Amino acid sequence: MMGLTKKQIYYITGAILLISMALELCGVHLHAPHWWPLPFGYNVLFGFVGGWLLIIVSKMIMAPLLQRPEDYYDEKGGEEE
Amino acid sequence: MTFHPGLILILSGFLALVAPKTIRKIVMVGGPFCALLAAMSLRLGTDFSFEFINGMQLGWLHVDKLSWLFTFIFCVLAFIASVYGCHNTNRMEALCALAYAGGGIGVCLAKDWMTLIFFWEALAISSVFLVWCNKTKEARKAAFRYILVHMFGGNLLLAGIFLKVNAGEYLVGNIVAGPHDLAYWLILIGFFVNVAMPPVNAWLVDAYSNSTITGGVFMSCLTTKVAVYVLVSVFGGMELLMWGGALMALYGACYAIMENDMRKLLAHHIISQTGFMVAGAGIGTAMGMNGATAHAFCDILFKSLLFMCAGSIMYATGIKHINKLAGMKDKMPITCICFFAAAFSISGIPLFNGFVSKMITVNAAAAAGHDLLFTLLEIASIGTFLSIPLKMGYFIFLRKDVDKHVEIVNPLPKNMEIGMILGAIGCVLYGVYPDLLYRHFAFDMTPYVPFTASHIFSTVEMLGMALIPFMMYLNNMEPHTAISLDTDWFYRKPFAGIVQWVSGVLCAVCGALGGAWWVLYQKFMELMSNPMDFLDARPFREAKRYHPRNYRTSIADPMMIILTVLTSVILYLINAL
Repeated sequence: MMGLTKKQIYYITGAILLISMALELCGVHLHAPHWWPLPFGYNVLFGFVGGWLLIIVSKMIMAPLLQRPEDYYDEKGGEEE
Repeated sequence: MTFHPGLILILSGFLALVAPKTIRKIVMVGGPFCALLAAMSLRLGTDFSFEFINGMQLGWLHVDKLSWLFTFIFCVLAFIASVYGCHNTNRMEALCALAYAGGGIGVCLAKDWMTLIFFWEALAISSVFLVWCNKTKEARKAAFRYILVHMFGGNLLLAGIFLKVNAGEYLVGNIVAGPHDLAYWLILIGFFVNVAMPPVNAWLVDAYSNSTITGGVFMSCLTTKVAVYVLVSVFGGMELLMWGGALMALYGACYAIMENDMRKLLAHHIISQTGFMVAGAGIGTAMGMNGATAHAFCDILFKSLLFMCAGSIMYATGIKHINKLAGMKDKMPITCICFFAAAFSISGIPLFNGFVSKMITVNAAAAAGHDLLFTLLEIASIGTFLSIPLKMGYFIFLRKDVDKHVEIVNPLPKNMEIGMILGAIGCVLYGVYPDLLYRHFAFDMTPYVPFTASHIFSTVEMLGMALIPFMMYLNNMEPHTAISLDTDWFYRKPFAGIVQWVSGVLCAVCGALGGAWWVLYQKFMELMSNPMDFLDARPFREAKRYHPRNYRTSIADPMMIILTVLTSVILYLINAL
C-alpha cells in the first residue's frame, strides 16, 4: 500500500498508536460510554476487535449466505433489449 | 426580493430542456448558481402562502433555521453536480436532475402537509427518470422497481396526510407527542421508505447503482436527506428512530464490506451514514438533532464527491467493479486526491468534514446515556473506514496494476474535474472551519468543540487500529464478482413468482372462458348461416371448394337482435305487471 510493505505499515501504525497511548497516559481523557470504566487503551482494543468483528460478520458469515452469481435475477430465456 | 430556490431550479431544468446547445451549459450551471444566491438571500421567518380550495392556505415558502440549512446545502449540491455533469447532452436528464433538486428544496420549505406531499411526489417522479436515462435493460427494470416502492411509500404518506388534513391539522410539525393514530403510522412508514430504513431499503442500492453518472450524484444526496429533514422536523425524539438508525448504520457497513460494484458499495454507505442521522433524530436532544443536521450537511458534500469519483472512473474506463480496477492513482491523480478527501471525510478523520459532524451524533448518544447506541455507532464508523478509504482506496487506487491493464478510454472533461475539486474543497473547508456550519444550527445547545485531544486521539487510535485487521486479512478483502441478496429478494423472487403464477391462472381462466365463448359463437354462426345443414345432419362441415352457400349472409345477426328485443320486452312486461 502506497509503496510500503505490510511490515512497514504495521510499524508506522504501531508508532502512531504508541504516541497516542503515551499521551493518553499523560492525562488526555478520551470520551467513552458510561457503562464501564474506560481502561487504558480502550479505543485501540475497540478498533481492533471492531474491525475483526465486521470482517468476520461480512466476509465469513454474510458473504457465503447472501452472495450469488451476477446473473441471479436474470430471467430464464433472456429478454430482448 | 425573495425567490424560491427550488422553483428556480425547476425553471432552470425546463430552460435546459429547450435551450440551444450553445447556451445549455450556461443554463445548467447558471440556474443552480442563481438558486444558491436565492437561498443565501432568504431571511429567517419568511412565510409566503396562497389560498387553495376551501380557504386552505398553502405555505410554499416557509424559512426557519433547519429548512434554510437544508435548502442551502441542496443548492450547493445542485451547483457542484451541475458543473460536474454539464457536458451531458441528454436534455431529459438535465431537466429531471434540476427538477429533482428543486423538489427536495420544495419539501424543506413547505409549511403545510399538502405542499409537502406535492413536492415529495415531484421528487420521486423526477428521480425515476435519472435511472431511465441510463438506457440499459437493468436501469429500465430497476427504475420500475424504484417507482413502485416509492409509489407505495408516497401513497401511504398521502393517506396519512389526508387523515391529518381531515382532522384539521394542516401544518407540518413535530407529532411525536401524539395522537399515535393511523395517520401517525402511515406518515412514519412513508418517511421510512424514503430514508431507506430496512426492510424497505433495497430500492436505494438497486436504483442508484443503475442511474446515469450525474444522476447518481444527485440521487446520492437528495431523497434520503430530504427524508432526514422531515424525520428531524416531524419525528425528532422518537426512540424507535435511535435503534432504526443503529440498524441502518451497521446494516449498510456490513453490506459495503462485501460489495464489488463501486456505486453499490457507496449506496450501502448512504444507508449507513443516514443511519447516524436517523439515530441523531431519535435521540431527540438538541445535540442529537443538530448532529443529524450537521451530518446530513457534510454527507451531501462527501457522498456526492464519492459518487463523482466513482462516476469519473466509470466514465474514463468503462469499469464499475472494484476487482477489475488497479493503479488508478497514477492514471487519474485528481480523482485520486478528491476520492481520498471524501473517503477521509466519511470516515471522520480530523480536518475533514465528517469528523466535525459524525462525532456530534455519536457523542450525543453518550451524553444522553445511550451507551449501547454509542457503541454500535462507533462500530459502524469502523466499517466505513474499512470499506471506503481502505478497501476502495487500496484496491482501486493504491495497488499496482500488475495484471488488470486498466486503460483510460475516455479522458475526463474539465468540468468533471472542476466539480470534484469543488466538492473536495467543501469537505476540507467545513472540516477545518466547522463554525461555518455550527453557527447555523437550528437547536440551541452548548457549543460543541470538535478539536479536543480526547476526540482526536480517540479517532486516531480506533481507526488506526482498524487498519491492522484489514492488513491481516488483505488477501481476502478483494471483493468477488457477485451480487449480495438484500430485502428486494422478497419482491424480485417469491413475490414476483406469486404474481406470475396468479397472472398465469387468471390468464388461463380468461383464455378458457374466452375460448369457449368463441367456439360457441363460431358454431352458432356456422349453424345459422344455413340451418338446412343441421337438418340434413351435416352440420359444421367446411366446404373445400367454391359454393355460393359459403358466401350467404348469416341470418344469425337479425335473429339475435329479434331475440334480444323480444326477451327485453317480455322482461319489461313481467316487471311492469
